[in-house]
Amino acid sequence: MDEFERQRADAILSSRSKRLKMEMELIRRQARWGKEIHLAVSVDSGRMYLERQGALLRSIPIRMGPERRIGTAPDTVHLAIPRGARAVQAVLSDSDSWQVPEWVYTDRGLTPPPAARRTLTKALGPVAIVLDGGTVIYSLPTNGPLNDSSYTMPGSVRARSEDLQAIVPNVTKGMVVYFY
Amino acid sequence: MNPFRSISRGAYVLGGIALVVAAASGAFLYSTLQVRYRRDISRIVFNRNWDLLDQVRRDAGVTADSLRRAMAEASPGPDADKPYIVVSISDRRLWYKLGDSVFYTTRVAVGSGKTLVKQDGRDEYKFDTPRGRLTVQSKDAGPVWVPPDWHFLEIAEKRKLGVVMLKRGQKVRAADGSVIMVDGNDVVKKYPDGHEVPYESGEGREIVDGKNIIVPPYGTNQRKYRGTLGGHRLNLGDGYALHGTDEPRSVGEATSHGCVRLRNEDIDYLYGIVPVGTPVYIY
Repeated sequence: MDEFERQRADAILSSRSKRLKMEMELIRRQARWGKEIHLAVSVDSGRMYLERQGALLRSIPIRMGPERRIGTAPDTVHLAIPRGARAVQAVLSDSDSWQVPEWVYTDRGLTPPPAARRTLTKALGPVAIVLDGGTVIYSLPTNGPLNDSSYTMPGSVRARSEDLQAIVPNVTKGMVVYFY
Repeated sequence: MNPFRSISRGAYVLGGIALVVAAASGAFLYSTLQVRYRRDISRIVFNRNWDLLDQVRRDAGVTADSLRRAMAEASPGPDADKPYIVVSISDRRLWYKLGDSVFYTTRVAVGSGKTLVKQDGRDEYKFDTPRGRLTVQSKDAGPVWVPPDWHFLEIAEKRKLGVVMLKRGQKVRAADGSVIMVDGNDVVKKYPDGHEVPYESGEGREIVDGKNIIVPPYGTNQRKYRGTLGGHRLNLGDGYALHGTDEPRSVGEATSHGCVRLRNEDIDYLYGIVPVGTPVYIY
Protein backbone atom coordinates (compact mmCIF):
# COMPACT_ATOMS: atom_id res chain seq x y z
CA MET A 1 0.00 0.00 0.00
CA ASP A 2 1.60 3.27 -1.06
CA GLU A 3 1.26 6.56 0.78
CA PHE A 4 -1.60 7.78 -1.41
CA GLU A 5 -3.61 4.60 -0.90
CA ARG A 6 -2.95 4.69 2.85
CA GLN A 7 -4.20 8.27 3.03
CA ARG A 8 -7.24 7.36 1.02
CA ALA A 9 -7.97 4.35 3.24
CA ASP A 10 -7.63 6.56 6.34
CA ALA A 11 -9.96 9.14 4.82
CA ILE A 12 -12.55 6.47 4.05
CA LEU A 13 -12.31 5.02 7.57
CA SER A 14 -12.62 8.46 9.09
CA SER A 15 -15.61 9.20 6.88
CA ARG A 16 -17.27 5.92 7.86
CA SER A 17 -16.63 6.59 11.51
CA LYS A 18 -18.26 10.01 11.16
CA ARG A 19 -21.15 8.42 9.33
CA LEU A 20 -21.61 5.83 12.09
CA LYS A 21 -21.61 8.60 14.70
CA MET A 22 -24.19 10.45 12.62
CA GLU A 23 -26.30 7.33 12.37
CA MET A 24 -26.20 6.84 16.15
CA GLU A 25 -27.11 10.50 16.63
CA LEU A 26 -29.94 10.07 14.15
CA ILE A 27 -31.29 7.09 16.11
CA ARG A 28 -31.02 9.10 19.33
CA ARG A 29 -32.93 12.01 17.79
CA GLN A 30 -35.54 9.75 16.21
CA ALA A 31 -36.00 8.14 19.59
CA ARG A 32 -36.23 11.43 21.45
CA TRP A 33 -38.74 13.03 19.11
CA GLY A 34 -40.76 9.94 18.21
CA LYS A 35 -44.49 10.68 18.36
CA GLU A 36 -45.46 7.35 19.89
CA ILE A 37 -44.41 6.19 23.32
CA HIS A 38 -41.24 4.11 23.08
CA LEU A 39 -38.16 2.90 24.91
CA ALA A 40 -34.67 4.09 24.10
CA VAL A 41 -31.55 2.38 25.37
CA SER A 42 -28.41 4.47 25.58
CA VAL A 43 -25.80 1.73 25.57
CA ASP A 44 -22.87 3.94 26.50
CA SER A 45 -24.56 5.75 29.37
CA GLY A 46 -26.19 2.62 30.76
CA ARG A 47 -29.70 4.04 30.86
CA MET A 48 -33.04 3.21 29.32
CA TYR A 49 -35.61 5.92 28.73
CA LEU A 50 -39.37 5.85 28.38
CA GLU A 51 -40.04 8.75 26.02
CA ARG A 52 -42.66 10.38 23.88
CA GLN A 53 -42.43 13.49 21.66
CA GLY A 54 -39.38 14.84 23.44
CA ALA A 55 -40.83 14.25 26.91
CA LEU A 56 -38.71 12.10 29.18
CA LEU A 57 -41.19 10.03 31.16
CA ARG A 58 -38.76 7.78 33.00
CA SER A 59 -35.02 7.26 33.15
CA ILE A 60 -34.00 3.76 34.20
CA PRO A 61 -30.50 2.56 35.12
CA ILE A 62 -29.62 -0.62 33.24
CA ARG A 63 -26.86 -3.13 32.77
CA MET A 64 -26.05 -4.01 29.20
CA GLY A 65 -24.92 -7.57 28.57
CA PRO A 66 -21.52 -7.84 26.86
CA GLU A 67 -20.82 -9.00 23.33
CA ARG A 68 -20.09 -12.71 23.28
CA ARG A 69 -19.54 -15.51 20.78
CA ILE A 70 -21.59 -18.44 21.96
CA GLY A 71 -21.81 -22.09 20.95
CA THR A 72 -19.07 -24.48 19.95
CA ALA A 73 -17.10 -24.11 16.74
CA PRO A 74 -18.05 -24.21 13.95
CA ASP A 75 -21.63 -23.74 15.14
CA THR A 76 -21.25 -20.37 16.84
CA VAL A 77 -23.26 -17.18 16.97
CA HIS A 78 -21.96 -13.74 17.79
CA LEU A 79 -24.27 -11.93 20.19
CA ALA A 80 -23.67 -8.26 19.54
CA ILE A 81 -24.84 -5.29 21.56
CA PRO A 82 -27.95 -4.21 19.70
CA ARG A 83 -27.95 -0.93 17.78
CA GLY A 84 -30.76 0.63 15.81
CA ALA A 85 -34.47 -0.04 16.23
CA ARG A 86 -36.07 -3.22 17.52
CA ALA A 87 -39.72 -4.05 18.12
CA VAL A 88 -41.40 -5.57 21.16
CA GLN A 89 -42.50 -9.13 20.48
CA ALA A 90 -43.96 -10.03 23.85
CA VAL A 91 -44.28 -8.89 27.44
CA LEU A 92 -43.81 -11.69 29.94
CA SER A 93 -45.51 -11.52 33.33
CA ASP A 94 -44.68 -13.67 36.33
CA SER A 95 -47.07 -16.38 35.15
CA ASP A 96 -45.45 -16.75 31.71
CA SER A 97 -42.74 -19.28 31.12
CA TRP A 98 -39.60 -18.78 29.04
CA GLN A 99 -37.18 -21.35 27.73
CA VAL A 100 -33.70 -20.43 28.90
CA PRO A 101 -31.35 -20.99 25.93
CA GLU A 102 -28.85 -23.79 26.30
CA TRP A 103 -25.94 -21.43 25.73
CA VAL A 104 -26.83 -19.46 28.89
CA TYR A 105 -26.03 -22.53 31.00
CA THR A 106 -22.84 -23.15 29.03
CA ASP A 107 -21.85 -19.50 29.31
CA ARG A 108 -22.33 -19.72 33.07
CA GLY A 109 -20.31 -22.93 33.32
CA LEU A 110 -23.40 -25.03 34.11
CA THR A 111 -24.53 -28.25 32.55
CA PRO A 112 -27.62 -27.51 30.43
CA PRO A 113 -30.64 -29.60 31.44
CA PRO A 114 -33.03 -31.02 28.81
CA ALA A 115 -35.23 -28.51 27.00
CA ALA A 116 -38.30 -29.31 29.10
CA ARG A 117 -36.45 -28.44 32.31
CA ARG A 118 -35.13 -25.24 30.82
CA THR A 119 -38.64 -23.82 30.43
CA LEU A 120 -39.18 -21.83 33.60
CA THR A 121 -41.64 -19.29 34.94
CA LYS A 122 -40.08 -16.03 36.18
CA ALA A 123 -36.80 -17.07 34.51
CA LEU A 124 -36.43 -13.41 33.44
CA GLY A 125 -37.72 -11.96 36.71
CA PRO A 126 -41.27 -10.93 37.57
CA VAL A 127 -41.65 -9.06 34.29
CA ALA A 128 -39.69 -8.99 31.03
CA ILE A 129 -39.88 -7.56 27.52
CA VAL A 130 -38.87 -9.79 24.61
CA LEU A 131 -37.68 -8.00 21.46
CA ASP A 132 -37.16 -9.24 17.95
CA GLY A 133 -33.67 -10.43 17.23
CA GLY A 134 -33.53 -12.32 20.54
CA THR A 135 -32.80 -9.37 22.80
CA VAL A 136 -34.63 -9.35 26.14
CA ILE A 137 -35.09 -6.62 28.71
CA TYR A 138 -35.36 -8.41 32.02
CA SER A 139 -34.80 -8.09 35.74
CA LEU A 140 -32.99 -10.26 38.23
CA PRO A 141 -34.96 -13.49 38.72
CA THR A 142 -35.14 -15.42 41.97
CA ASN A 143 -34.64 -18.76 40.26
CA GLY A 144 -32.90 -20.23 37.23
CA PRO A 145 -29.44 -19.68 35.77
CA LEU A 146 -29.90 -15.90 35.47
CA ASN A 147 -30.27 -15.51 39.25
CA ASP A 148 -26.87 -13.88 39.66
CA SER A 149 -26.53 -10.14 40.05
CA SER A 150 -23.01 -10.23 38.62
CA TYR A 151 -24.20 -11.77 35.35
CA THR A 152 -26.08 -10.06 32.56
CA MET A 153 -27.14 -12.08 29.56
CA PRO A 154 -24.96 -11.17 26.55
CA GLY A 155 -26.70 -8.86 24.07
CA SER A 156 -29.56 -8.20 26.50
CA VAL A 157 -30.58 -5.54 28.99
CA ARG A 158 -31.13 -5.95 32.72
CA ALA A 159 -33.06 -3.40 34.77
CA ARG A 160 -34.63 -3.23 38.23
CA SER A 161 -37.93 -5.09 38.43
CA GLU A 162 -39.74 -2.09 39.97
CA ASP A 163 -38.73 0.01 36.96
CA LEU A 164 -39.95 -2.61 34.51
CA GLN A 165 -43.18 -3.07 36.44
CA ALA A 166 -43.77 0.69 36.26
CA ILE A 167 -43.40 0.81 32.48
CA VAL A 168 -44.88 -2.48 31.22
CA PRO A 169 -48.52 -1.31 31.30
CA ASN A 170 -47.41 1.11 28.57
CA VAL A 171 -45.50 -1.48 26.53
CA THR A 172 -47.40 -3.08 23.69
CA LYS A 173 -46.47 -5.59 21.02
CA GLY A 174 -44.78 -3.81 18.14
CA MET A 175 -43.62 -0.85 20.23
CA VAL A 176 -40.25 0.44 19.04
CA VAL A 177 -37.16 0.13 21.23
CA TYR A 178 -34.21 2.20 20.03
CA PHE A 179 -30.63 1.25 20.84
CA TYR A 180 -27.91 3.83 20.35
CA MET B 1 -21.80 29.76 -68.04
CA ASN B 2 -20.45 32.17 -65.49
CA PRO B 3 -17.17 30.79 -63.87
CA PHE B 4 -17.59 33.05 -60.79
CA ARG B 5 -21.02 31.58 -60.07
CA SER B 6 -19.55 28.04 -60.29
CA ILE B 7 -16.76 28.93 -57.77
CA SER B 8 -19.25 30.54 -55.36
CA ARG B 9 -21.45 27.40 -55.42
CA GLY B 10 -18.34 25.30 -54.67
CA ALA B 11 -17.51 27.50 -51.68
CA TYR B 12 -21.04 27.10 -50.31
CA VAL B 13 -20.80 23.32 -50.62
CA LEU B 14 -17.40 23.26 -48.87
CA GLY B 15 -18.65 25.58 -46.13
CA GLY B 16 -21.68 23.32 -45.61
CA ILE B 17 -19.47 20.23 -45.36
CA ALA B 18 -17.23 22.05 -42.86
CA LEU B 19 -20.27 22.93 -40.71
CA VAL B 20 -21.50 19.33 -40.76
CA VAL B 21 -18.03 18.08 -39.77
CA ALA B 22 -17.82 20.68 -36.96
CA ALA B 23 -21.27 19.68 -35.63
CA ALA B 24 -20.35 15.98 -35.78
CA SER B 25 -17.08 16.71 -33.97
CA GLY B 26 -18.92 18.63 -31.28
CA ALA B 27 -21.39 15.79 -30.77
CA PHE B 28 -18.56 13.29 -30.69
CA LEU B 29 -16.66 15.37 -28.12
CA TYR B 30 -19.79 15.69 -25.94
CA SER B 31 -20.46 11.95 -26.04
CA THR B 32 -16.77 11.29 -25.28
CA LEU B 33 -16.99 13.52 -22.19
CA GLN B 34 -20.14 11.71 -21.04
CA VAL B 35 -18.49 8.32 -21.48
CA ARG B 36 -15.41 9.56 -19.59
CA TYR B 37 -17.59 10.86 -16.77
CA ARG B 38 -19.39 7.50 -16.51
CA ARG B 39 -16.05 5.73 -16.64
CA ASP B 40 -14.67 7.84 -13.80
CA ILE B 41 -17.77 7.25 -11.70
CA SER B 42 -17.54 3.53 -12.40
CA ARG B 43 -13.92 3.53 -11.35
CA ILE B 44 -14.82 5.24 -8.13
CA VAL B 45 -17.57 2.70 -7.51
CA PHE B 46 -15.34 -0.25 -8.29
CA ASN B 47 -12.72 1.15 -5.99
CA ARG B 48 -15.46 0.95 -3.30
CA ASN B 49 -14.95 4.61 -2.63
CA TRP B 50 -18.55 5.20 -1.66
CA ASP B 51 -17.93 8.35 0.30
CA LEU B 52 -16.22 10.03 -2.63
CA LEU B 53 -19.13 8.98 -4.82
CA ASP B 54 -21.57 10.47 -2.33
CA GLN B 55 -19.49 13.65 -2.36
CA VAL B 56 -19.60 13.77 -6.19
CA ARG B 57 -23.35 13.31 -6.06
CA ARG B 58 -23.73 16.03 -3.44
CA ASP B 59 -21.48 18.40 -5.42
CA ALA B 60 -23.42 17.69 -8.60
CA GLY B 61 -26.67 18.23 -6.73
CA VAL B 62 -27.87 14.90 -8.08
CA THR B 63 -29.26 13.82 -4.74
CA ALA B 64 -29.58 15.18 -1.21
CA ASP B 65 -27.66 13.40 1.50
CA SER B 66 -30.32 11.08 2.91
CA LEU B 67 -28.66 10.86 6.33
CA ARG B 68 -28.41 14.63 6.68
CA ARG B 69 -31.99 14.98 5.48
CA ALA B 70 -33.13 12.38 8.01
CA MET B 71 -31.19 14.25 10.71
CA ALA B 72 -32.97 17.46 9.80
CA GLU B 73 -36.35 15.71 9.88
CA ALA B 74 -35.58 14.19 13.27
CA SER B 75 -34.94 17.60 14.76
CA PRO B 76 -36.87 18.80 17.81
CA GLY B 77 -40.50 19.59 17.18
CA PRO B 78 -42.26 22.85 18.03
CA ASP B 79 -42.87 21.68 21.62
CA ALA B 80 -39.15 21.18 22.28
CA ASP B 81 -38.77 24.18 24.56
CA LYS B 82 -42.13 23.81 26.30
CA PRO B 83 -42.55 22.40 29.78
CA TYR B 84 -44.63 19.30 30.35
CA ILE B 85 -46.13 17.26 33.16
CA VAL B 86 -45.39 13.58 33.76
CA VAL B 87 -47.48 11.40 36.06
CA SER B 88 -46.35 7.92 37.04
CA ILE B 89 -49.30 5.80 38.09
CA SER B 90 -46.99 3.20 39.55
CA ASP B 91 -44.97 5.69 41.60
CA ARG B 92 -47.99 7.89 42.36
CA ARG B 93 -45.86 10.91 41.63
CA LEU B 94 -46.04 13.96 39.37
CA TRP B 95 -43.18 15.88 37.78
CA TYR B 96 -43.32 19.27 36.09
CA LYS B 97 -40.39 19.29 33.67
CA LEU B 98 -38.62 21.07 30.88
CA GLY B 99 -36.40 18.75 28.86
CA ASP B 100 -34.61 16.62 31.41
CA SER B 101 -34.87 19.24 34.18
CA VAL B 102 -37.45 18.94 36.92
CA PHE B 103 -39.15 22.16 38.08
CA TYR B 104 -41.41 20.57 40.62
CA THR B 105 -42.33 17.12 41.84
CA THR B 106 -44.84 15.88 44.36
CA ARG B 107 -46.86 12.84 45.37
CA VAL B 108 -50.34 12.31 43.98
CA ALA B 109 -53.30 10.00 44.34
CA VAL B 110 -54.33 8.08 41.24
CA GLY B 111 -57.24 5.91 40.16
CA SER B 112 -58.08 3.00 42.44
CA GLY B 113 -58.62 0.56 39.58
CA LYS B 114 -61.85 -0.58 41.26
CA THR B 115 -65.05 -1.21 39.37
CA LEU B 116 -68.66 -0.32 40.17
CA VAL B 117 -71.64 -1.89 38.45
CA LYS B 118 -73.88 0.67 36.78
CA GLN B 119 -77.48 1.07 37.76
CA ASP B 120 -78.72 -0.92 34.77
CA GLY B 121 -76.61 -3.85 35.97
CA ARG B 122 -75.22 -4.46 32.48
CA ASP B 123 -72.19 -2.19 32.44
CA GLU B 124 -69.67 -0.95 34.96
CA TYR B 125 -67.53 2.04 35.84
CA LYS B 126 -63.77 1.48 36.00
CA PHE B 127 -61.89 3.93 38.17
CA ASP B 128 -58.56 4.05 36.32
CA THR B 129 -56.36 7.03 35.62
CA PRO B 130 -56.02 7.12 31.82
CA ARG B 131 -52.56 6.50 30.36
CA GLY B 132 -51.32 8.51 27.40
CA ARG B 133 -50.87 12.12 26.36
CA LEU B 134 -53.45 14.58 27.60
CA THR B 135 -53.36 18.37 27.64
CA VAL B 136 -54.24 21.01 30.20
CA GLN B 137 -57.36 22.30 28.50
CA SER B 138 -58.45 24.86 31.08
CA LYS B 139 -57.84 25.97 34.66
CA ASP B 140 -60.31 26.75 37.47
CA ALA B 141 -59.91 28.61 40.72
CA GLY B 142 -62.34 27.51 43.42
CA PRO B 143 -63.61 24.60 41.36
CA VAL B 144 -67.05 23.20 41.97
CA TRP B 145 -67.38 19.46 41.73
CA VAL B 146 -70.46 18.15 39.96
CA PRO B 147 -70.50 14.56 41.15
CA PRO B 148 -71.25 12.01 38.45
CA ASP B 149 -73.87 9.31 39.02
CA TRP B 150 -71.24 6.87 40.26
CA HIS B 151 -70.71 8.99 43.37
CA PHE B 152 -74.29 8.34 44.48
CA LEU B 153 -74.22 4.70 43.37
CA GLU B 154 -71.10 4.17 45.43
CA ILE B 155 -72.73 5.62 48.55
CA ALA B 156 -75.86 3.55 47.90
CA GLU B 157 -73.76 0.41 47.65
CA LYS B 158 -71.85 1.17 50.85
CA ARG B 159 -74.96 1.99 52.84
CA LYS B 160 -77.21 -0.61 51.21
CA LEU B 161 -79.59 2.02 49.87
CA GLY B 162 -81.83 2.14 46.84
CA VAL B 163 -81.26 4.85 44.23
CA VAL B 164 -83.87 7.36 43.07
CA MET B 165 -82.80 9.53 40.12
CA LEU B 166 -84.85 12.66 40.77
CA LYS B 167 -86.05 14.50 37.65
CA ARG B 168 -87.33 18.05 37.33
CA GLY B 169 -91.11 18.05 37.73
CA GLN B 170 -91.02 14.78 39.62
CA LYS B 171 -92.30 14.55 43.20
CA VAL B 172 -91.02 11.88 45.53
CA ARG B 173 -93.20 11.29 48.55
CA ALA B 174 -91.09 11.14 51.71
CA ALA B 175 -91.77 8.92 54.70
CA ASP B 176 -92.86 11.88 56.87
CA GLY B 177 -95.55 12.93 54.41
CA SER B 178 -93.56 15.72 52.81
CA VAL B 179 -92.53 15.80 49.13
CA ILE B 180 -89.01 15.94 47.68
CA MET B 181 -88.94 17.94 44.47
CA VAL B 182 -86.98 20.47 42.43
CA ASP B 183 -87.95 24.11 42.79
CA GLY B 184 -85.85 26.44 40.67
CA ASN B 185 -82.24 25.37 41.15
CA ASP B 186 -82.79 23.65 44.48
CA VAL B 187 -83.93 20.26 45.58
CA VAL B 188 -86.39 21.06 48.36
CA LYS B 189 -88.47 19.33 50.91
CA LYS B 190 -92.04 20.64 50.66
CA TYR B 191 -94.15 20.12 53.76
CA PRO B 192 -97.97 19.64 53.79
CA ASP B 193 -98.39 23.21 55.06
CA GLY B 194 -96.71 24.45 51.87
CA HIS B 195 -93.39 25.67 53.19
CA GLU B 196 -90.20 24.49 51.49
CA VAL B 197 -86.74 23.79 52.90
CA PRO B 198 -83.87 23.42 50.43
CA TYR B 199 -81.45 20.57 51.09
CA GLU B 200 -77.83 21.26 51.93
CA SER B 201 -75.18 20.29 49.42
CA GLY B 202 -71.73 18.84 49.72
CA GLU B 203 -69.93 15.60 50.33
CA GLY B 204 -71.50 13.69 53.21
CA ARG B 205 -74.70 15.69 52.87
CA GLU B 206 -76.35 13.57 50.19
CA ILE B 207 -80.13 13.38 50.31
CA VAL B 208 -81.28 10.16 51.91
CA ASP B 209 -84.93 9.43 52.47
CA GLY B 210 -85.74 6.20 54.26
CA LYS B 211 -83.98 3.44 52.36
CA ASN B 212 -83.21 5.49 49.25
CA ILE B 213 -80.58 7.96 48.20
CA ILE B 214 -82.02 10.76 46.09
CA VAL B 215 -79.79 11.77 43.17
CA PRO B 216 -80.32 15.46 42.41
CA PRO B 217 -80.60 16.37 38.70
CA TYR B 218 -77.68 18.13 37.00
CA GLY B 219 -77.87 21.90 37.32
CA THR B 220 -79.30 21.94 40.84
CA ASN B 221 -77.33 23.39 43.74
CA GLN B 222 -77.45 20.03 45.50
CA ARG B 223 -75.35 18.60 42.63
CA LYS B 224 -72.58 21.16 43.16
CA TYR B 225 -69.95 20.42 45.83
CA ARG B 226 -67.63 23.21 46.90
CA GLY B 227 -64.27 22.53 48.52
CA THR B 228 -64.11 18.85 47.56
CA LEU B 229 -61.53 19.53 44.82
CA GLY B 230 -59.43 21.99 46.83
CA GLY B 231 -58.61 25.48 45.64
CA HIS B 232 -57.68 24.84 42.01
CA ARG B 233 -58.15 22.43 39.14
CA LEU B 234 -56.35 21.81 35.84
CA ASN B 235 -58.82 20.18 33.45
CA LEU B 236 -57.53 17.45 31.15
CA GLY B 237 -60.75 16.71 29.25
CA ASP B 238 -63.22 13.80 29.39
CA GLY B 239 -63.93 14.60 33.04
CA TYR B 240 -60.32 13.99 34.14
CA ALA B 241 -58.32 16.64 35.98
CA LEU B 242 -55.45 17.44 38.28
CA HIS B 243 -57.04 18.86 41.41
CA GLY B 244 -56.75 19.34 45.15
CA THR B 245 -58.62 17.44 47.80
CA ASP B 246 -60.47 17.62 51.08
CA GLU B 247 -58.82 14.31 52.00
CA PRO B 248 -55.08 15.09 52.03
CA ARG B 249 -54.28 11.73 53.63
CA SER B 250 -55.34 10.00 50.42
CA VAL B 251 -52.46 11.58 48.47
CA GLY B 252 -49.88 8.93 47.64
CA GLU B 253 -52.51 6.20 47.40
CA ALA B 254 -54.50 4.65 44.55
CA THR B 255 -57.85 5.92 45.77
CA SER B 256 -59.25 8.38 43.25
CA HIS B 257 -61.91 7.71 40.65
CA GLY B 258 -59.47 8.43 37.80
CA CYS B 259 -58.42 12.02 38.42
CA VAL B 260 -54.95 12.90 39.67
CA ARG B 261 -55.38 14.25 43.18
CA LEU B 262 -52.76 16.52 44.77
CA ARG B 263 -52.35 18.22 48.12
CA ASN B 264 -54.00 21.63 48.03
CA GLU B 265 -50.71 23.53 48.38
CA ASP B 266 -49.27 21.59 45.41
CA ILE B 267 -52.19 22.25 43.07
CA ASP B 268 -52.26 25.89 44.17
CA TYR B 269 -48.59 26.22 43.16
CA LEU B 270 -49.01 24.34 39.86
CA TYR B 271 -52.08 26.42 39.01
CA GLY B 272 -49.84 29.47 39.09
CA ILE B 273 -47.04 28.14 36.88
CA VAL B 274 -48.60 25.62 34.46
CA PRO B 275 -50.04 27.27 31.33
CA VAL B 276 -53.08 26.01 29.44
CA GLY B 277 -51.91 23.78 26.59
CA THR B 278 -49.24 22.04 28.64
CA PRO B 279 -48.92 18.37 27.64
CA VAL B 280 -49.56 15.84 30.42
CA TYR B 281 -48.01 12.41 29.95
CA ILE B 282 -49.51 9.75 32.17
CA TYR B 283 -47.83 6.34 32.22
